[in-house]
Amino acid sequence: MNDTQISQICLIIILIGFIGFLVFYKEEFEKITIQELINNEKITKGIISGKVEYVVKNFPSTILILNDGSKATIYYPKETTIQKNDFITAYVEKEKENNFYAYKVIKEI
Amino acid sequence: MIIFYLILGSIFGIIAGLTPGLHTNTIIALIAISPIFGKEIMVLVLSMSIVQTFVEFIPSTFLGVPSTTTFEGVLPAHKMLIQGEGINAITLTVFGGIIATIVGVLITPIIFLLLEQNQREIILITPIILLLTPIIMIQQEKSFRKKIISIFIIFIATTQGLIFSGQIFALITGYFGVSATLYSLKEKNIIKKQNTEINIENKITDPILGLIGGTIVAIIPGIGSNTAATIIKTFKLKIQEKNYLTMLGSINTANFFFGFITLFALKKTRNGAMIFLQDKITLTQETMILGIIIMVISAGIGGFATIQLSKIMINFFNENLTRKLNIISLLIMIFATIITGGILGIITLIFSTSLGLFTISKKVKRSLCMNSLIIPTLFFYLFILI
Repeated sequence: MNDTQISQICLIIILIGFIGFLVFYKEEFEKITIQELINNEKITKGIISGKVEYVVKNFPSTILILNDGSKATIYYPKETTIQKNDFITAYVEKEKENNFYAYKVIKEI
Repeated sequence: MIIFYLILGSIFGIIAGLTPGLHTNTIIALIAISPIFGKEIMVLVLSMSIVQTFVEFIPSTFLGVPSTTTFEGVLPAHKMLIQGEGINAITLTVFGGIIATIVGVLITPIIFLLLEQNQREIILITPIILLLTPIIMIQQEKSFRKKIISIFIIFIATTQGLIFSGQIFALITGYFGVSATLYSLKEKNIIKKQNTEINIENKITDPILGLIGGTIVAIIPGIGSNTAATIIKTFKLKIQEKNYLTMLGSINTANFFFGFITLFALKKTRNGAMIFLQDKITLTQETMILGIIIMVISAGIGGFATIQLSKIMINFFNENLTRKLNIISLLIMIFATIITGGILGIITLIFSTSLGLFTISKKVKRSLCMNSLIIPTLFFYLFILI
């Protein structure tokens, strides 16, 4: 096998990768409101932002009530230092009604 | 935006790969300050890391200056350069990396399930592998005298690892970077005109062996690419220089590839770039699929760029330029050590360089120095298990 052939394999891999990207890639999380996420049955995941209305617990996992105009209970499986009145952005998945599972919670500064 | 970050990551990967002493982790430390989050940062870090695993063999071959992951490959690659087969040596590492990527994608579901369902077994087997590694290293030295020197080096490396536990960059740079550069500045080799007709005859078994090595590196803390190559050598005694380079290229790429898979299977990882990603991405199936696709594209970019860049660089290459580049890379390594470790970093660098030069002068394996990470990690595992 010579260098030209290996270079060609590299280009084929790039092409296959891009085809894979077009076929499999879909936007997983998009900005959404709590109300939209609750009402739209086709959407199960989204990025929600709002003010923390109440923190049930911070340790060993976090449960809080988020308000962006509508309210939702968010469960995040890690400890945090989030407090009442903090502004947060959460990458969530709908569990039931207004209960969401968070993959990631970011405190806005 | 994904494509933009893919291109940006590839450019950073090429720069990091071509600059001795500049590791992707250093660039990641700078990226950490930025507010980029989610798949954008993942695409940037993965493409940069994968492209670097290919490109970093160029300075290793042309300058004889290794990175932390290529140092065992420097000797065979630089030896091939002296014989006029420099581009051939680099192409062999690309071949290894490409095969590792292709086979890696195919076996990802199996590796993922194995890791996910055997988490406890992995914790139990880790100290055994860590304990066996220095024993294998000593056993591989041929004469009794070299075995005794190896034990001495392991003892000194362990001591340095325990004393300078927070100075990993300075330790590794001293053992493999600064010592090798000082040595290559001293050495004067007559380098033949480089052959530009490339033809490699390698079996697919070597990159697959490398894939196993890369998986070990991705899972077991304290084990580097070169240590994994040493372990594999024990089981496959007759490894020719060319096959060894293919294997090392494969280990290097597989380490990053399976480091990413490990992050999703175990929810933890030992790879520096992946540790950074852990807090920046959501560990969902969709993210993992996107990551794998990005690594495949990046491997293609890295392999193609490495072959083309080596062909371009061969035209400018001469002994005088090599010497100048060696001095520049030496300065970059010292500067990077000051940035990452301060005064203590420089003190560590002096000690680690001394041990690196000692191993070179005694003609024993430099991977013995990796025991500065292996033995302290072993102590840690024994402590949590007992």
